[in-house]
This record gives sequence, structure tokens and C-alpha cells, in this order.
Amino acid sequence: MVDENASKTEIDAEPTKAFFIDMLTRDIPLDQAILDLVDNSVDGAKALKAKGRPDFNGLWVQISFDAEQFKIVDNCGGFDRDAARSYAFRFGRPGGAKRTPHSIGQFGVGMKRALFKFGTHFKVHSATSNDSWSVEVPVSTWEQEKGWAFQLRDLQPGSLVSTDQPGTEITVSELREEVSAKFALKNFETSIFNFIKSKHRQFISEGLAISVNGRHIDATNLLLLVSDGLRPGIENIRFSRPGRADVTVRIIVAIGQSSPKQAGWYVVCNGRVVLEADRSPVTGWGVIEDAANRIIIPSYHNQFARFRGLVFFDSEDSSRVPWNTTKTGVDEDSSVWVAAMKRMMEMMRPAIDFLNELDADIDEFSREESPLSNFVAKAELVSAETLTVKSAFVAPKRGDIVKGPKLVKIQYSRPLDDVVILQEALDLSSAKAVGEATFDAALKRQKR
Amino acid sequence: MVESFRKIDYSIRPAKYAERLMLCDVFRRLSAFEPVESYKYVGFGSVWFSDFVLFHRALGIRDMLSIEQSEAARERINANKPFSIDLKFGKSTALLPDLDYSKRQFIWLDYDDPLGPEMLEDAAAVAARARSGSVLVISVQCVRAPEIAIADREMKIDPNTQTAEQRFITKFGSRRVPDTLSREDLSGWTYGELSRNMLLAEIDEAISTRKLADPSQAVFAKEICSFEYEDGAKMTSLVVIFYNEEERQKLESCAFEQMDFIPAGEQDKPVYIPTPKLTLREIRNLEGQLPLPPGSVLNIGHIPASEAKSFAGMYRYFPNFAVVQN
Repeated sequence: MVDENASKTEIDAEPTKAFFIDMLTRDIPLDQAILDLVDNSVDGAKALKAKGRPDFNGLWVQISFDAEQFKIVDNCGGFDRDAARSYAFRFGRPGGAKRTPHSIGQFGVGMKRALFKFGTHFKVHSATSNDSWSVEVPVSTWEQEKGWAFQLRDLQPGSLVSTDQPGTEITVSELREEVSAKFALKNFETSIFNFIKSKHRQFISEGLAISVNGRHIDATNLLLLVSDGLRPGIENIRFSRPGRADVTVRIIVAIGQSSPKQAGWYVVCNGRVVLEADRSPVTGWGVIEDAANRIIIPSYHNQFARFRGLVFFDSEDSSRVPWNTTKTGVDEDSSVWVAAMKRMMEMMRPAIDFLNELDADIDEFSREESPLSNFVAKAELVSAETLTVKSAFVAPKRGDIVKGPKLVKIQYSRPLDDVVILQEALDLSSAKAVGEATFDAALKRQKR
Repeated sequence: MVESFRKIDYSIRPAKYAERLMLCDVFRRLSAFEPVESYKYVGFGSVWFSDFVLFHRALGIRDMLSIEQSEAARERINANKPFSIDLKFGKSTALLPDLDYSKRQFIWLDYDDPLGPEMLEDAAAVAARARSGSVLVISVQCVRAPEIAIADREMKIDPNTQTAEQRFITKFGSRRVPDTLSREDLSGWTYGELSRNMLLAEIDEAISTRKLADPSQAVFAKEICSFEYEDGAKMTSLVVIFYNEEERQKLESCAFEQMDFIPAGEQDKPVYIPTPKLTLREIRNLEGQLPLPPGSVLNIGHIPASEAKSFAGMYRYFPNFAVVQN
């Protein structure tokens, strides 16, 4: 019986489904939502690996989308009805739910958020080796129904997964207008391809085969320069806390190819790249020590285009690694992050000092002649994953390398028409080259 | 940057001349939308204004605007302007968003340079606003991407420097460049194809955004044809028409696929404009037999077969040049 008094004193704060879905989907960009679904597949692959697979070879994820529908299919083991009931379709993961060790989909919102974000009709089929099921949700009908239940049914015929071919198949149709418009664009397809390539880099290089609209994604490596006198700084740290899983952290600070777009910090949590080429204060750039008004690390500038910093966080308990809920950045308040960040900044300093020296050397001698620049050019590119043993950052100082003859820079201006005459006559590509070639020619005649 | 008119005499580029006449054919067919003389022509006149002269004389276009990048040559450009043509000095990127898009326009962005991000911006600026029935032509040079020379030069200083492909991706942003990019894509006709595809993808993106912002303003973009030619430097052009749902029928009435210079069954391929090297006497001999009656064979005499064939396919569009001496 309804308590009349209670109904007058109680406020029904239960969210409407429409409001909830709107809130849920607004917070995440479309490309991130696709990554979230890939994360689920990766977690499946990780679970299989935890059960004894040596690596991800033979496991695949196929993503396809166009103006009409989105589909992702994997053979990464699928999940059973219990998992579906207890967390896969729950909004938010219940405290006691079992987790895949080192998982990357720990917040329990990724799949639902992506499905609602894409469209208003979705089907999920999943099969493990001994269980299989399907869920089909026409969202507009579901929104009108009372309660938050989805109907779990036996695996529907025609699905691409089965107990013989365990995996998960998700299809979203009746796409939202803006989603459909994006899915139809070539540029969007390319950006998703590149996005997965960089964010899931580690899993791809371990053998997970991911394709987007039929095109296979190749593995890429983060490459660092190493030579006799040039060595990355490497640090391994372990954060322990009683009763909780440890977090291991590896920090690498190094010099790489000169590339303003690749320079910066890369933050990797349980294998998933959450920050890429970050050059913001989050990773220490432009940080000023308040009291002393002393700059600890300068703001990013193109003379640091060779800077590469990598930090890998790994924990069996994915809530311990310092990422935010959308995996688009770090949780700056996480104690693990705060502690690691302190060490990152210390390790960054010598690399920044070296790049400043390199810049000064190039300024004095030019890029072609700078002894320091030539030294760096002789180094070899090495994949960052191969660097595991603790060591300090090593790089030469300006005076360490024998200089050639003292050089001086010449700079002058001449009428454009005249420069063009010489540039074309001498078949040169720039005004600078004209200056150098004509100087060399004059010198050849005069020098005895 | 040297103004290109100081390097190239536009009046004697035979393939360019043929392209202009072909575009004139495209233009003429727009009468399904409205009489072509009420279209506006927008181009880069330079000091030659060859396109303006042709479109004015052949089609009666009266409303013409020339975008001139070279402020320094203002006097000279003004002195060479053949008709009453509006001149606007500045970069196309700055001027294109402010064109009068309430009119149907025929816009030819005839760049001399290889594709750059600002050209994609220009394509997007037009696609975001063009009225149904408008045509956008974009011509770019496609000899080789400048990144190849830069990478090769840098490679000598630093063997680990970024490759030409990496530099190209950095320049345009990764979403705009196909992930399959290889060095071969960055020179010659494959580079031309890449340039056209990047322009098309940019146009698609712009009209998609335009539709989402206001569905009543939605347009489609259709590639009418594309060209490849070389009067020295390899060039490629992309010709796109914008139309809306209500005017789809008008687009079909244009019957662009029936244009003379598009070989039957090859609508999807670029039209290659050859530059046959023939004497005036040979040209006269061939032209006397053209157009060829069905079933008959061209008598080519001593002319190389390939030269004769390429001439016969497009003879209507080729210029007859003679050096006038006095």
C-alpha cells in the first residue's frame, strides 16, 4: 500500500532513461567510443592470455562502419551470461564483480556508452566455449518501458560467433544523424584507423589483428635514438599498498627523430596509450616552482622536437593505474601519478639540457656542420619496448666532441629576380643554396 | 615566391588550352540549371586572363571576379585586364568565404603549386557554401610532393630523419592522408590521384557538416570529370558540381557523361589530355578527315600512330599555334 505521507515527503530522483543516455553519451567523443569497444575485445584477448596463451597471435577484431550501421566482431573468447548479467550490461561495475587482470575496460560504461552513442538499435551476440547468448535492444521502445532490464536470450541464428568460434559480435543500426554522417566520411575512417593504430599499438605488436573496414592495421613502434654516447634514461618503480595490487611503472626519457608532432610524453596504462606526444603542463612542460619562481621544465618549443618521454603503468588491478574514465588522459590526483610525475620531471631535465645544447650548437655551426647534430645523426633507432634495464640518460656535451674549423654565419639580401636567375641557372632549390654555391665558387677561384 | 606568370607563358600551353575548352563544354551544359550567361565566373586571372576571355566570348559570362594573390603586380594585372572584370587582391583562403554564394558560380581555382593544406581549406570553403548548380574546378601541380626533396636533403644530414611520407602526413594531418601512403603516391600521376582524392574527401566532409548544421541547405557533390595533362609540369584538375535534392533532375539533364572528351565507359577515369607533336600540315591532313564517319579508318600517312590517335580523340580542343614574326 502506498504511504500517502511518504509520497508527499519523498522526491523521486530516479533519472529518466532518455536523460541518462543523453548524459552518458555526451561525455565521450565518437572516436573514443569506438576505442572503448576495441578495449573490450582487448580485455577478452588478455583474459585468454591469462589462461595460458603465449601471445595474441590468431586473435582478431574486425570493425566496420558506414552511413547505415556499425559492427565490431572479435574471436577474443566472448563472455558468458553471468558476466553479461553482472557487469557487461550494468551501468557501472558492481564492487565485487570479477575483473580481467590488467584489463583496460575497468569502468563498466564503455560498451553501453558506445552503443547508445552510435544509434537507437543494437544487437549483441556473444559466445564462450560453453555458453552463448544474444541481446537485442530497440532503444526507443526500451526507453518507454519501466525498469532498466535488457532481455537476455539464446544465441540468435545467423550470428558470426558460436561456442565453436567464441567471441563477441556487436551491431548498431538506426544510427544517429551526426554519427551516420561521420561514419560515411573517408577522413573519419582514416582517423579511426590511425587512432587505433596508435592507442592500441602494444596489443597490435603482440599479435592482435585489428582491421577497420577491411583494412588491416600494421604495428608501429615508438623509436628512440641510441648509440655509444647517447643512451635513454630508464627507471623502473614499483608502488605498493597493503591489500591492493602493486603498480609497476617504467619511465623512459630519450631523444628521437626531429618531429614536432611526435615530441612529448606518451602515457601508457596497462598497454593502452592514454596520452600521446603530450606537451602540456600535465606532463610537466612549462612547470614553474611557485615559491622560487624558478622554471623547472620550460614550455614546449620546437627545439625540443626530438624529446621523447614514455611512461608505462601496469597493474593487475586496473583501477590502480592513473587514467581518467574516458581513457583520454591521466587522473592527475592519483597518488601513483603524482609520485611518478615527480620522477618523470627529474629525468626530463638532462634531456632538455642536452636539446638546449644541441640547439646552441646548430645555431653556431649550422645543421650540416654542428658536431653535436652529426653525433646524433649517427645514432640508431631502437624500439622503446626493448629498453627495460635501469640506466641514466647519457649524452655528450658541446665541448666533448672535436670541432672542425671555426665557422661564421653569413646572412644577406639580394633582389628576388636576381636570386631566381642564379637559382635556375645553377639548378638549386633555395636561396640559401644559391648563397652557399656562389660563395664556394668565388672561394675556389681565390683560394691558393 | 615568384609569381608563376613570370615563369610560364600561359597563352601557349596547348594542354591547358584544351582543358579550358573542355571546361567551356562543362560550363555550357549548366544551362539546365539556369542560362549560363547569368552564372558568375571566379578564377585566378593572373596577367593572362585566358579563361576569362574564353568564357566571356564563348559563353557570354558577364559577371566575373578574379582573385589575385600578387599585390605587388597590381598595376600590371590591372593593365592586362581585358574586360570589365572585378579584381580582388589577397589570398584565396581569405577571399573565398566572402564570395556571393546566393548566385550560381563557376569557380576555377587554378593553382600552379602542388596540393597544400590551404587548398583543402579553399575547397571546403566553397563546398560549405556553394549554391546548387555551382561548379568547382581545382587544378594542382603533381610533379612530386615537395616533401620528397626536403626528406632527401635532410637524409644527407641525418639518416634517421623523417621520411617524405611522414612529412606529408605531418603537413596535412593524419586523418586526411590515406594510411596506405607510400613514396610512390607522392610523385607523378599517382600523386595527382592522391591530390584529387584528398580534395574530394575534404569536400565530402564540408558538405556533411553543412547538412548537419542546416538540413535545408544540404547539397551533394558529384565529380563531373577530372583531367591530367602536362605542358611541362604534370598537372591534374578535379571538376565537381554541387546540387541539392530538388535540382537532381537538372543535374541529370546536364548529361555530363555525354561530353565529347570523355571516352565512353571511362567516366571514372581521369581524362588524359595529350600534347601531340604534329606539324601544321599534318594537323590539316588529319582535320580534313575528322570527325570520322562511322566505320571508316583514319588515313594517317607518315604520322606516328600514337600521335595521330591522341590528336583524333581530342582535336576539337587543341589550339593551332603559329609563331608570328615581323
